[in-house]
Amino acid sequence: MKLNSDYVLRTFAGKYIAVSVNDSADNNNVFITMNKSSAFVWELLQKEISYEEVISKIIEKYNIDETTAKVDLDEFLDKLRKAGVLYE
Amino acid sequence: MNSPRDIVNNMGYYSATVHGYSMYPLLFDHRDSVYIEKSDEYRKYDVALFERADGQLVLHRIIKIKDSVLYFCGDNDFVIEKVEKQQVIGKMTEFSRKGKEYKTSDFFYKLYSRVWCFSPFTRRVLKRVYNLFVGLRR
Repeated sequence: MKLNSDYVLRTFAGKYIAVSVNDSADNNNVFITMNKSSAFVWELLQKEISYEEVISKIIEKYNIDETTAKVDLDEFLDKLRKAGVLYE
Repeated sequence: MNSPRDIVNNMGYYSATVHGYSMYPLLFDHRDSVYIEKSDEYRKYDVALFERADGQLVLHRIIKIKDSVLYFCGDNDFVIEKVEKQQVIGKMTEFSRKGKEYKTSDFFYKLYSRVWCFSPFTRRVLKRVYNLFVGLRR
């Protein structure tokens, strides 16, 4: 999976916000707000990467168990799918 | 989808990439983005997002305030637009330029705002000088 490259991640007011730089988003006001760990995943998804690879990198970085990592990742991926920015 | 006004009212903020060149040289089309916050108070030199009668969204700078009327002008424009306070959605408190984030409370941003928008005449001169050295290079 990989992210739509028309988005750039910015830090505004302590929040991580991805804004679209593509014309297709001109009319739908898409911006995605995320927390620090989601922003870490966002950066990983800049390049083609598998679900399992993302999970192992999250576990490595945040030292959490696999179940928690999966719950958090699934929730974030769902948000990205809804925004239509994830290629799978 | 929700309109930017709804988003600002619900979440307190809004963020988007800039479209157009009316705020050049501060903000560049499809490159720079802004962070807009809900606000009750607007001041001269604030950059704010407002909605025209036809629904078009505009991000320009306040150059004068008189009662409930705000006078807007783009940094790259010379046309002054009269806007009622209820048309205003929120003010820019942070922005990113060439991939780097800035706050509107930053010293150099404030200095730029004051100098660039001091008067239409000085702006014409500054614009000439700026274009001579930097031009529309990205």
